[in-house]
Amino acid sequence: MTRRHLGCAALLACMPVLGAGTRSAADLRKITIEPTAGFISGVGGSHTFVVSGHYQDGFVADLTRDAVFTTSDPGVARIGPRGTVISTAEGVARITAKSGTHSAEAALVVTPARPKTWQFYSDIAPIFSKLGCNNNACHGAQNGQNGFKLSLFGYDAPVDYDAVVKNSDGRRINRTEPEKSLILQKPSFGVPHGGGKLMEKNSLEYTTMLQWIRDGAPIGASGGAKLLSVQMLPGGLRVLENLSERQQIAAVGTYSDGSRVDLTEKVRYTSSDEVIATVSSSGLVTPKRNGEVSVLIRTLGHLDAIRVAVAVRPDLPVATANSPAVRNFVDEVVFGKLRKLKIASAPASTDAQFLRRVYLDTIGTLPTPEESLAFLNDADPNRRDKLIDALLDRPEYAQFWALKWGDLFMIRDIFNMNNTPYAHEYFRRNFAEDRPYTEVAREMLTGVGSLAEVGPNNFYSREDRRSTEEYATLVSQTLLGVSLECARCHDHPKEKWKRDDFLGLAAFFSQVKMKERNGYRPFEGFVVLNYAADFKHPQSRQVVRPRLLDGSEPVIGPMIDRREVLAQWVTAQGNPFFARATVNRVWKQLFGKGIVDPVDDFRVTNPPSNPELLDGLAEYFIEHNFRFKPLMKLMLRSSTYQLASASNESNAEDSTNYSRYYVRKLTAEQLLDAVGDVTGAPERFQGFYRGKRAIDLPDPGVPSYFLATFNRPIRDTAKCERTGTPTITQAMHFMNGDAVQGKVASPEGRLLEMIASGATDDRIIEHFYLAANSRLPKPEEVALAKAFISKQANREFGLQGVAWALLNSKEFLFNH
Amino acid sequence: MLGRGTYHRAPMSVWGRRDFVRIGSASLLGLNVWDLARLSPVHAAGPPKQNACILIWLMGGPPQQDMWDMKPDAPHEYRGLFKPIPTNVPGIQISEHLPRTAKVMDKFAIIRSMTGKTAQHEPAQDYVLSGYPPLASLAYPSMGSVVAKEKGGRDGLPPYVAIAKPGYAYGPGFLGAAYNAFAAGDPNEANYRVRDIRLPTDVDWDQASDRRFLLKKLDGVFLKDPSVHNADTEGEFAAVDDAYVKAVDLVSSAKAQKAFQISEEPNRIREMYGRTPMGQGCLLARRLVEAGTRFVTVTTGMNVWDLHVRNFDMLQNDLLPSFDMSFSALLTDLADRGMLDSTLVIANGEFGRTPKVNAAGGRDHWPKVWSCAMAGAGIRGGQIYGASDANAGEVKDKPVQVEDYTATVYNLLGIDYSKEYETPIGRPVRISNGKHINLS
Repeated sequence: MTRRHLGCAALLACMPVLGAGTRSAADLRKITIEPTAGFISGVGGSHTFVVSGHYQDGFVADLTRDAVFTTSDPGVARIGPRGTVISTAEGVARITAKSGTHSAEAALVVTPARPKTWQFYSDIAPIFSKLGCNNNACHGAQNGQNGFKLSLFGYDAPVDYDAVVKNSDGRRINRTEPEKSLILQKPSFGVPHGGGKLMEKNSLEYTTMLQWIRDGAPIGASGGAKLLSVQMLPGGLRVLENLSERQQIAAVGTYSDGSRVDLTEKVRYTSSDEVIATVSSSGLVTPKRNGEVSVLIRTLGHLDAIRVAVAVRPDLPVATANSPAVRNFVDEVVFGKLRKLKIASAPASTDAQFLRRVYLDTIGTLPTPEESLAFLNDADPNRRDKLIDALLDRPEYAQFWALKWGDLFMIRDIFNMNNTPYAHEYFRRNFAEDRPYTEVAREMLTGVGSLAEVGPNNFYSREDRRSTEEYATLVSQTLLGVSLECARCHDHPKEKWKRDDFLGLAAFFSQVKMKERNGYRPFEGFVVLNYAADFKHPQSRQVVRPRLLDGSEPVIGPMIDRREVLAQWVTAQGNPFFARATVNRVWKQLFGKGIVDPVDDFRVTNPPSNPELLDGLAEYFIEHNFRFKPLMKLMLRSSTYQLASASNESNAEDSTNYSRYYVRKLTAEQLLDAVGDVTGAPERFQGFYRGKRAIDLPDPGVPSYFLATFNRPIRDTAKCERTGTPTITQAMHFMNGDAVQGKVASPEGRLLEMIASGATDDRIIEHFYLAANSRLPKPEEVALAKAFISKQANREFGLQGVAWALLNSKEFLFNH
Repeated sequence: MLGRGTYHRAPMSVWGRRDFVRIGSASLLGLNVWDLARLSPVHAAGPPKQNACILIWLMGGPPQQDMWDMKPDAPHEYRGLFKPIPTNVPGIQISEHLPRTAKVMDKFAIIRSMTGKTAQHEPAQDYVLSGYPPLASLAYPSMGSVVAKEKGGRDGLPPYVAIAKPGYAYGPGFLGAAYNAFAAGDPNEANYRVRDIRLPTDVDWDQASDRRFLLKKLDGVFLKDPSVHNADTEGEFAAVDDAYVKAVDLVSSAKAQKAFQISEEPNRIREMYGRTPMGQGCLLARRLVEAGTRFVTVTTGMNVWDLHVRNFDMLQNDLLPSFDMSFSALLTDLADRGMLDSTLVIANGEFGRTPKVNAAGGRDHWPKVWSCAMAGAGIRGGQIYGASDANAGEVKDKPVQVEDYTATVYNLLGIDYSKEYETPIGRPVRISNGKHINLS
C-alpha cells in the first residue's frame, strides 16, 4: 500500500457519513426515470428502470433502490426487486416511481412473445461473454484452456459455434441427455472445472443453454434481428458521495427490426478499477474508495462505458475571493467537475512559479535573469497575458514544438538521406506561421516524391518499406488518436474496432510504393503512386475496399489518389477524431496528462475524464481554423493552467482532474539548454554552429551523451513517452559528470566571469538563483550558501559548490 | 504518463551512509577510496549461485556458413573461401579461422537453425534482442531489461550493463527507464573508466559530501514552500533521490568500482582475451557477472558484421581473430573459475547472410536461417542443435524461431517466460511468446 493510500484509508475511517445524507428529500428538485419507455417480449421477462434524483444544488443521485415503484396494471406487469418490472401479460402499463412528493413515470409495453427457439448467435454467444468464458485468461487465450478455445471476447461467433457444437467430436453437447452436456456441466461445476462455478442450475444462462440444446443447438436464423447498439443508462458522470450509496445501471439494446430490449441482466459488466468501485453482474455499482472508474458493458461485440466517481469527502468551503477566478470556459468545466467531486483546487500560482513554468512549457527555455526581473517587477495587472502572447511569438516556440512534432512523426535520418533538416524545418515553419493543422495533415497524408527534400513526405519515411498495414496504424495513432494495432489481427478486445476496420483503412494506402535510388545521395527514398494497386486481404487475398473509421466505404474513381479522400475525411470539420485527438495532445503537453490518456488511445472503453472539456476545446480549435496559437492562448490563460502545484488533502490523490499543476521533470533538451544557460557554458553539438540549442536539433542522431542519458526519444515509435523514471546514469552524470561540474567551473562560464569582474558573493548567489529558478533567493538560502562557502577551500571553489547544488536541486530539475 | 505510486518506501538517506563516515575518516589518514578497495578482501572464493547472461552481440548479421555452419561440399560461390576444421568434439567442424574456439567446442552448443522474419537491421535487432518484432505503437523491452526487472542487481552493481556500444535496441521499452542498460564504455581504451563513476578530478570525497549536504538543505527549503508543498504526489521527487542513492551506492561501492576496474586484472588474463574491444569487453563482462550484474551485452561496433563487401577479408583479418580469442578465452576463464554453470554465454546476431556470395565479395542479409552459439547455464557442450540445408539457405531440421530463442534464454536463466507484463494501455504481454528448446 502506498503512503497516500494508507493516508486515504485512515481518512475514510475517521470520517462521519456524509454525502447524499447531507441532502434531504426537501432538497430534491425533481426525479427522473430511465428509460421512459421499456419493452418486454413475452411473459415472465424483466426490465430494469433507473431512477435519478435531481437536487437543488445540481447534484444527481441514484434513487433506484429507495424509490417506491407502482404499476398501473398488475395484470400486465408487476413490480420486482431492485427497480425491475416483470411482465405478466401482453399490454401496456404505466410504471410510477415515487420519492417523497416527487414522482416520475415510464411506459412499459409487453409485446407478444417472439417464437422462442434460442439461437446460438443471438442468445447463446452472449452468455460466453457474460460469464467471462472467452476472456484472455480463460478460453479466449491464444491456445484456449484444456482443449476448448473460444474467440477472444467472442469476436468470431461462427468459430465459437464450431468450438461448442462440432469440435472434439461434438462431445460438449449431449443431444440425447442435454443435462449431461459438458458445456453445461463444467460452468455449473457439475464436473470439475478449472474456471470454477460460474452459473447456478436455475440461472437464466443455464436454462437458456439447456433449452437451446434441447431444441437441437441451432446456429441461428440469418434473417433474425441484429443487435445494432447497446446504451447504458443513466448517461453522464455519476458521483457517489458515500460508501453506503449505490448506482444501478441499466442496459438497453436496439435491434435492426426497431425493437428495444432490456439487456441489463444479459451484458457483462466490468469496472476499470475494482479498488475504487465494483460492479455486480446485474449492474449495481458499489463504491470502495475515492477515485474514478469507467464501468463498461459488453455483449456480442458491442460496448459502452460510463464514468462513475467516488468522492467521499467533506463539503467544500464556500468560494472566497482567494479562490482562483473563472477566466474562460476551460475553468468553467474543470472547476465545475472539481466541485462535483468536492475536490478543492490548489490556490493560484505565484508570479515566480508561473513565470518559470510558462517559459518551459511554451518555449522550452528558461527566462534570463533580466527577463525574470522584468516580469516580477512589472506592475501591469495583465502581465501574465502579455507574457503568454510574447512567448508564443518567440522563435524558440516554433523550435520547441517542432521538436515535439518530430517525436510524434518519428523524424530521423535512417538511410543517411539527410532528410531531417527538411522535415524539421517543415514543422518549425508550420508552428512559426501558425498554419492550420488541417493543411499540414493533408500535406503529410498526400505526400508524393522525394523524402529527402520535401518535409511533409517524411510521414512515409520508415526504415523497412513497411507494409501498407503499418500506414493504417500510423495515421490512426498520430492523427486520430486511435490505437488500431490490436485490430490488425483480431477484433479489438477493448473497443468496437473490427479487423475489417483496420484493413479497410489500410486500403487507402494501397497505391503507395516506396522506391529508392542511389544518386548523389547515398540513398534517397521516394513516395511513388501506383494508381491501379489494390490492397489484398492477408489471408483470403480478396481485394479490400477502402473503408473509413465511421464504417463508410467511399467510391473512389480509377485515377484518384485514395489518400486525398482519406485526408478530406480526416480534416473535415465533422470528423470526430482529428480535432479531439489534436487538442488532447496539446493539452497533455501543457497540463501533464491528456483528457484522454494515453493520448493515442481514444476508445469507448477509455472515456475522457472530462467530455465537456474535450468537446469544448475541439470546438474552439475548429472555430479558429485548427490553429495552435489561439488554442494554446486559451489554455495558458486559464486559471486551471495557472494553479499552484501544491496539493491538499482533498486533491492529493487527483491525477486526472487538473486540481493543481502536475509537476514534471525537465525534458532532456530543456535540461541541457538550461544548464548551459545558467552556467554560461552552452553545449556544442557536432556539426552545428556555436549557439545551436538542444531544443532546435533536427533529429536524435546528433550525438550527445547527455541527451541520450536523459531519455531523448530515439523516435522509433510514435509514442512520444520521454520522461520515465530517473536512472543511476543520470544521477551520476549530474553528480559527477562534466555536465554540471565541468560547465560550472568552465573558464568561459558565467561564474568565473563574475568573480573576475569583482562581483560580491551576494550578487553572484542572486544571479544564479535568478538564472536557475527565475526568482530571487530567500535570506535563508543566502545564509546557507554563505555558511557553505566559508567552509570551503577557497571562495571560488565554494561558489562552484553553490552553483553545483542549485543545478542538482529539485527546484531546478523539475517544472513546477 | 503519470505513473502509479511505486515509490512507496522512504528512500534511504543518501547522507547517512556509514561508508561516508568511514571514507571520510580514511581520507584523514591519507588513504583514498581506491586504497581502501585494495585493502578489502579479494573476491570471495566460489562463484555467485544466481544465473547471469553475457551476450556477445554480433551486430550486423554474422555469416553462418563462414563461421559455424560450414558447407564444404556446396558450389564454391556458396561455400566461400573458408574451409572447415575439426574441433575437440568428433564429428563437429567449424571455420578454420576459429581455431581456439574449436578447442573448446566441448563447452558450447551451436544452434544451426535460427530463423527470423525480417531482413532490415533495426527491426531485426529489435526482434532478436527482445523476442518481439517491433511495433510503432509499442516498444518492447530487451532481454536485459527483463532480466534486470526479474532479478535485480547486487552489491550496488547495475543489473544490466551494455559494454562498448549501447544501441537503442537494448532499451527497456514499456518497462521504463529504470531498466535501461547501464552504459559502461569501451574497456579496451587506455585508462578505461566508467563515465562519471568517479568524482570529478577537482572534487574530493569530503567536498562532494559537503556539497550533497548543502543540496539537501536547499531542497528542504524548496519543499517547504507553500506553492509546491506536497506537489509530488506520485513520488517524482523521491524518485530522483532514489536514483541518487543508487548512484552513490555504485560510486561508493568498493566492490562495484572494483568490478569495473579492468586494470586490476593480471596482464596474463588480459592478453588471453586479447587487447581488442571484443576481448576486453568479454573480460569486463566476466568481472561484472562475478560481482553481481545479471545481463551484459558486449558490442564492438555499429553493424560491424554487416559484410556486404569484402566479407572474407574482413572476417579473416579482423573480426574472426578477435572473436575467436575472446570467445574461447571467456569460456575457458568461466570454466576455470567454476562460473560456467551459472553463466549463460551467447554469441548471436540479428540474422545470417546470403548463401551466395555477391559481386563485391560479400554476403547480404539473410533471415531465413542462421547460427547461434550458446554455452553455460547447464547447456550440454559439444552439441549441434538443428540443421540447415546444403547451402545454408533454409532450415532443414528443428527451426528455432526468435521467440523460441528468447524463451530458451529466459528458461536457462530461471525466469518464467509465461509471466505477463501489462503495457501502459493495459495490453498483456508475455515475457516470451515462444517455447524454449532443450539444450541440456
